[in-house]
Amino acid sequence: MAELFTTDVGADLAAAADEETAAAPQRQALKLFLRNRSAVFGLILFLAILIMTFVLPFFYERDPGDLIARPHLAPGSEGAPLLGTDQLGRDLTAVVVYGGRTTLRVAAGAAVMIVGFGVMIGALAGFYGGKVDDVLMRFTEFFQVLPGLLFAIVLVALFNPSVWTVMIAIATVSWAQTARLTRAEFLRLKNLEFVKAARAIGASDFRIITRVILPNAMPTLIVSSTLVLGWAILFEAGLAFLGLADVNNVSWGLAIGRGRAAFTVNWWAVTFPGLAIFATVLGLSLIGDGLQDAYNPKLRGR
Amino acid sequence: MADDALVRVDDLCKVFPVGGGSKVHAVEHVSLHVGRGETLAVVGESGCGKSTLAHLIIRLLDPTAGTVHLDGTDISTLSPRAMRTHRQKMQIIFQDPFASLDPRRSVGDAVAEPMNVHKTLSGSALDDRVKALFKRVGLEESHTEQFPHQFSGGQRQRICIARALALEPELVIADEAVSALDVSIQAQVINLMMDLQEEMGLSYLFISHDLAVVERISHRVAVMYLGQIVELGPRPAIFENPQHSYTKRLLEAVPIADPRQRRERPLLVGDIPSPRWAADESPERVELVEVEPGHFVGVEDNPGATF
Amino acid sequence: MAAAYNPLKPQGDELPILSVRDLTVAFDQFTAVDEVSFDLHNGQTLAVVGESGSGKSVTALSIMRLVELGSRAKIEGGEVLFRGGHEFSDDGAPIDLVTQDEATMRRIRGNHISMIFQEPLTSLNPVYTVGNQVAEAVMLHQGLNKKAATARALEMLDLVRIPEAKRRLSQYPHEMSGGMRQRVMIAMALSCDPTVLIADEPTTALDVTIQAQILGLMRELQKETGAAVIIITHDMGVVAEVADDVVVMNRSKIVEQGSVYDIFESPQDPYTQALLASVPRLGSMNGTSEPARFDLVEQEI
Repeated sequence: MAELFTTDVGADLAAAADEETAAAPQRQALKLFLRNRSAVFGLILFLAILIMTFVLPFFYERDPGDLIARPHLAPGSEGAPLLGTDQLGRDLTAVVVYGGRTTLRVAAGAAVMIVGFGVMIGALAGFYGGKVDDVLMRFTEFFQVLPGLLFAIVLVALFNPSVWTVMIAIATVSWAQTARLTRAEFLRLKNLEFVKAARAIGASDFRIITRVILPNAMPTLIVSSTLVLGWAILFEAGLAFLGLADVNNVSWGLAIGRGRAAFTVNWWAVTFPGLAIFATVLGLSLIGDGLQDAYNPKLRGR
Repeated sequence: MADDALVRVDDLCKVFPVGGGSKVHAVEHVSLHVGRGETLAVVGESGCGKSTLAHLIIRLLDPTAGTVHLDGTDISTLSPRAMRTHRQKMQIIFQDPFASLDPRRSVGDAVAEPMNVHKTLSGSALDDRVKALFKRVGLEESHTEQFPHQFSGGQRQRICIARALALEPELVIADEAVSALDVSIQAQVINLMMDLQEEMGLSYLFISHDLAVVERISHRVAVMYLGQIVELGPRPAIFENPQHSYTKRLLEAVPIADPRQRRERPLLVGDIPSPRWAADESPERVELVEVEPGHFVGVEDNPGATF
Repeated sequence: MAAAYNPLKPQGDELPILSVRDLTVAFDQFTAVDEVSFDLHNGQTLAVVGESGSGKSVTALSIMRLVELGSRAKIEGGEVLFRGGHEFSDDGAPIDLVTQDEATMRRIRGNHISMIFQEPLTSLNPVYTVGNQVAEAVMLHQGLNKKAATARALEMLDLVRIPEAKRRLSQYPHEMSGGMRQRVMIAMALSCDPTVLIADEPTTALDVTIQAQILGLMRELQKETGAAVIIITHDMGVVAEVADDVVVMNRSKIVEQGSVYDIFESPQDPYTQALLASVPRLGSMNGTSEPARFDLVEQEI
């Protein structure tokens, strides 16, 4: 009953609100996003991390591998750098700053691969359906049921840990989710009237996929991409913690892994890179939630 | 207005706040009555407030101002508890019989539900009553065990009517109740509604956008435009002697199912204006003047200027 | 071609622009369109009328060959002979749309045969401006550049009498009312001067005063362009208002076809008779004051 009456009166209201003073849908979403406090906080947090990792190195030129002081110097103690030194006497400030570069690069690369491949597979499966869908989805499921971390470990171990192998390993075990999401969006959108209308004016499949359906799936895919990026950061950290990382390029995860044995005497070597990961992932997830609300204001509170 | 009216609505208003400090005047100073055994049709286009009016009368929404009297009692301010007994006298049927029935419950249960809620009947008496209701609306007794998806749209609307009749109401509000049905089914359901009215002395408040259907079913007609009544009167007066320019325009717009009566269509362009107003603005009130007994017409400064 | 088609005037030797012959479409086991045949002439308006599930919309989508995409439907037999696309045949012979490949169909859709749909809100892509979408069809088929296509879009919005067309070009669909959106759909459909326009319930979702505007507009544009129109509808009022000829469908089959006057004044098939008996006719109650039941023909429809 309650549901019904909202929809019926909704008709009166909807007709009234027809000329909602909305500009482009994207601009509308941006406005809603900027009005959302936690989303803006997430954005600021993430921007701060980006500045720290990509701008700060220009002002803080130091090799994070150099041994610059005695080991285990606590932050604030005499002769110690801002965040102290680790168990070998490396500058933790440099480790956190430069390590972020590696982590974010690997994660971003992996996220691009995940989204690119996942969207392609999902779009084809959802759009064509039938046999194409069957084949692509069995393929996707194969990757989905793999024990992700284990498989990634095997991949990295087989091909020597480098920035590229780590990226590919993360993408290999993570794209299936995005493919399924994209497929669901395409299944939902492809039967809408404007897709039929696009066909009726003679648009080709490629055009319909890329210019008609994909732009309408963008909100969902953008939200998912921010979450994928956060996931990739955690995954990279996990692998690096286990030592499966390029040892020549320190990353946050690697720093935690190196410091874990000495945690009782040197809590800061683990804590600061850990905080950096935490802040980045939190920022991304707040941004993701904010985008979700901004694109679908009606779903808020669910 | 008739004092023995079943429902009397006085100066009813409903304002919805919408985003950005503006508001929608969905229903503005509406006054009308529904006599016993009478069908009052409320017609208008989307956004005119007719659905909101129906929901206000049955108290699914609370009015911003104004009163609704049912059988002489002001129900617009009653507590939910006190409202319960009065609610039995009024029932509503919606446009979408698909959405109005729970897909997981048998339709017999659906019809029995109001009687369970109000504890009017139980046990075998309840079963008998449900079966009798099914028969009354033209369905088989054996249908009670089945589920909504096993029925066609027309049959589902019959089930909704049976449920509405379960508590022997005096007023049935039909909110676009036949609009979604195929035309042959629509005619059958309308015939059923008229039969029921005759037998049970029901009053109908028939909310519709379809003037050809309204002409068929109603005793009196209220024409709504932007939340206000612009013309109200006996059906023959409204259809054969419309006075307000909006009523005329509405009637002229209806395509007549007779190719010999094709109308010249002026190439008009216009949208129905929105009932949305800024916080400090309000629509101008339409004054109704009685031009012949029972026939009220909204005064226009500039006839024909409406959209 | 400007003269309106008059069904009472014999067609002479003029060949139909579109001939549907024994068209049969099935969804798995269910036959949705069963041996449907009709002709459509230049400048003529043909109404295909029926209740839900009668197969009228599937017929329309089959002509465009849009029915098999994304559903289990299959055109199982029959032909759709089209005489409007001269570049597709050497000798002016009609081409059978049922046997054309997808690439040829894409050149026909939106260019020679256009379609408008019931829901003007959902038929427009929410992420592009209206101008963008109207220009799209012209760019696709006539190879115009963006600037020329936008100019054509503006011309089309003017043609369908959208006020302040220039400003409207940069609006998004949700900023327009239902009636305006349907005008945009019509502008889009007519932008390449099609010879056949298929309108699937074009006014069903609209308010009655807006419906009147759109019907008037369609009639006027048909006079101006000489296009042949197939209108799919369940509304006998709309049929009576716009059609020259009528095809009545029930349960996947054509039960009766003829001129609009024949159908309304002397329906032969029991289904048509029953359908007409249940249609409320405005003005039929003049001189009475009490409500009146429908005089239904006793028949299970």
